[in-house]
Amino acid sequence: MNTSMQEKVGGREFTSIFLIAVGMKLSDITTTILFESGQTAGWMIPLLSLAFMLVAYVVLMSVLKRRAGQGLPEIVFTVGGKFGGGLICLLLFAAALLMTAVTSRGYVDIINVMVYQQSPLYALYLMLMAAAFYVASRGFAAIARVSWMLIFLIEGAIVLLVSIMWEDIDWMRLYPWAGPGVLEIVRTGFMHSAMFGEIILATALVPQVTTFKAFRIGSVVGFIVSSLKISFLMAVYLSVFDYPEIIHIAYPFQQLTKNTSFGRVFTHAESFFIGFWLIISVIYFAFYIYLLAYLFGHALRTDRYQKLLLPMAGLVVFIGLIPGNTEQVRSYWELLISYSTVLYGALPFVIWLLDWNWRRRHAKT
Amino acid sequence: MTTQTDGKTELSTRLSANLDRIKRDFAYPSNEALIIRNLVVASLKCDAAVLYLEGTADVNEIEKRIIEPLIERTNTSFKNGNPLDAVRLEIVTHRTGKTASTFDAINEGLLNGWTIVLIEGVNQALKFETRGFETRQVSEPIVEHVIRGPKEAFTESAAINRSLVRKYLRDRHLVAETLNVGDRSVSEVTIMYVKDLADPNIVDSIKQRIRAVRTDAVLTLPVLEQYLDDHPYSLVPSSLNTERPDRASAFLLEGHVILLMENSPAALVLPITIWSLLHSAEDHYMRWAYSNFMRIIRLLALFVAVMTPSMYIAVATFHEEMIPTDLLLAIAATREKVPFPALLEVLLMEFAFELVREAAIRVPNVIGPTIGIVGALILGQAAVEANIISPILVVIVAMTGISSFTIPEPSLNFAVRITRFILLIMGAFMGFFGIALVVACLLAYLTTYSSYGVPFLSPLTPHYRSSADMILRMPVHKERMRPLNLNPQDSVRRPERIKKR
Repeated sequence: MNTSMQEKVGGREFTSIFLIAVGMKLSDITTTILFESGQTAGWMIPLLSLAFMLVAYVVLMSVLKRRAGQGLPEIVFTVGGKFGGGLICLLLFAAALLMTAVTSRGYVDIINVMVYQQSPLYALYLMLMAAAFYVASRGFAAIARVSWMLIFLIEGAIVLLVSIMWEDIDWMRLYPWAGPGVLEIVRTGFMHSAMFGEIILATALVPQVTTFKAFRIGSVVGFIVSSLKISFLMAVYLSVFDYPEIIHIAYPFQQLTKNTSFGRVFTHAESFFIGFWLIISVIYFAFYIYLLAYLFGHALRTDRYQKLLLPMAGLVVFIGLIPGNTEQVRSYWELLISYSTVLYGALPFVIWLLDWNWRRRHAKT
Repeated sequence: MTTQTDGKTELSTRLSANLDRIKRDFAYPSNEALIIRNLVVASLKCDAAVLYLEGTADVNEIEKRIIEPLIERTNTSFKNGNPLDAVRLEIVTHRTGKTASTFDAINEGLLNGWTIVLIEGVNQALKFETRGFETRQVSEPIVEHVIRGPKEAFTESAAINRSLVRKYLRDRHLVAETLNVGDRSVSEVTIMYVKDLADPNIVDSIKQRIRAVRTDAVLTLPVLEQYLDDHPYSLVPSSLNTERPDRASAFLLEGHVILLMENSPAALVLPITIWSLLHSAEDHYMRWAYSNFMRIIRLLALFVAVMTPSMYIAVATFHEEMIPTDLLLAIAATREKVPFPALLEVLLMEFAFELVREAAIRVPNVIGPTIGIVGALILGQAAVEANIISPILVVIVAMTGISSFTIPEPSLNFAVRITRFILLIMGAFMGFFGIALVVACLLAYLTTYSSYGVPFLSPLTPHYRSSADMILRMPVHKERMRPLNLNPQDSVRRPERIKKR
């Protein structure tokens, strides 16, 4: 492995990877599930979830700032000791693994249902994960650099998609704006805040970024812009498809692209968008496989986490193949989100307390 | 023969012994190339011998500047007492003159066209640079044509090539260092760089690689290129050949390093990025709008050359809804008569096209035009009429072929053509899904590929400050920065533009 593969990642590249890793949620099963509980106010949920997650993020950042250059695993091992650190790392790893497995299964379902009905699910799954594994094996730098290369094209494609669909949008469909009621929305928003769990997981990658400032700006910009984007796109889905039809549409993003056309000649432009979406999915899962290997490697306290990429990719496929159908995927997703909300929400406070305790102890001696 | 072991021996003071030794080294009586001219230095009253290798040295120069003065000069009072110095400084009128004290140095000199003068009673020899290898004149570039701009190309003589570079780049910091490669036939490699621009680490690493080459002979630059390459199995080239001295000089000014070799009518530019491969020599000779127009066309051509056949297959097999209905019906009507699956059709046609291309390079010039007739008529028209392929495919393969001709760099051209087949297979196998997976992997590969330590897609990604001379370029006065991915010692090309009036 040459030096350029192990180079650190700059601010631009890092911001783009987060714009992709978080922004991808606008195209998967997340949106449909949010509409089910949020109804016409579903599009507000990402904003509320982000607000809740930001609190946890700020607490965690206060610890990270004090320990410059250290990532989450290094910190939890310092403040939590060998046992506590290992436990936290493994918990995070488990949450991330299950989430990746369920999400990737969701993606493969989309590919299977929307485009390749005749191809066997496991074959599609294997191919997607093989490509993601290859990208991840080129290192975090590869993932981030490809993201930076593509980010303008991706955002451009989204703008293009919305502008093509603009005449089908009826903003009146957003009413009643409070959906099932303000309190219910806030509760749902809180319960689903784990969908921005990356904000906590990403702090593991601090040592891979050139400066802490670049990390802070990258993550904040990435998360805020992505949640605004998800929220806006959800509002677009809602105002194109209307409620309650929207909850019967399994994949609103793909459905939206199916309705696109470039003028009268090219009446079906969906493959153009799907192609783009597939490239980004590979990058997205490459990022997750890398993150999984990184977390697990640190839980085992080894630096050779690159060797874990292949087992991780395999593990994701094995777990992802467990759910029998899309409905099961959704229920697993719901279940996971509620549990991981507790984990991601509580963890920063636990780490903060441990850190506080550590500092108090070390101040004495 | 110069072997490392017996060549190190020192010269003796006896002329005949020295001559015997050299004769033995060059297998003298049977090898008629070694020319020995015995003479008496008139003014010193001592025996001497002039030696050179036939075909390597300029005979007129030897006669006029070396042999004539040695024999005709009769003045006997010299300032220098040492006969060697007397000959070198006061008798011979040749512009060069060095002493050599080992047979190794003498033999190497002879092989490189130097003339050796041996004098009785002196345990050193004199050598004079009288190189007279046959070379051709500086001619027009064959591969890198331009409409505007200089029309000189490198030739097979390294000395002429160095002089061409110096003619364009008159900078006292332009350094030309010479290294030797090859154990049996020693070739000189000239490494040129601008001392206060090029990153010393890059220069050192290249020099180390050249020194590390251990083989009997490296005759030309393309072979050396492969010895230096970090990724010998990669599709992506890690250095660039240019036959244009102006282009080589432009690269030097950005902080690149160039290598020149005897017998190679090109300069090897290292390290490179994908942008160096995509840009043509002419891009900076045209005005801003014109050159950007050319670049956009070439970029589109690159995409067409890489993607079209695989896209066609993917659309025709998996995503028919993308084609406008009328066109779809037209394609279906022509495809109806063709018995083969689309993939086989494309592969057949691509194979035929690659055949024509390869044949056109190998065929003697005299029968060149036949290839065009056979290619166009038989492979295009007749194949369609015989229902072996459909007409749309001729259009697609022709488009792809023409597009791939616009790629200015031959190595990149090969990379593109091979990549096209990979994409083609994946497109036929899994449609856009397959293509997307390969594209993602390709991008990941390219972003982490590096040429001599410089990331291949930099300064785009990873991002470095530069003049953004990548896909498009800015007007010349705004190109103030050297690309920082090469880590130049001086990053500013020109100061801020002074506001006029």
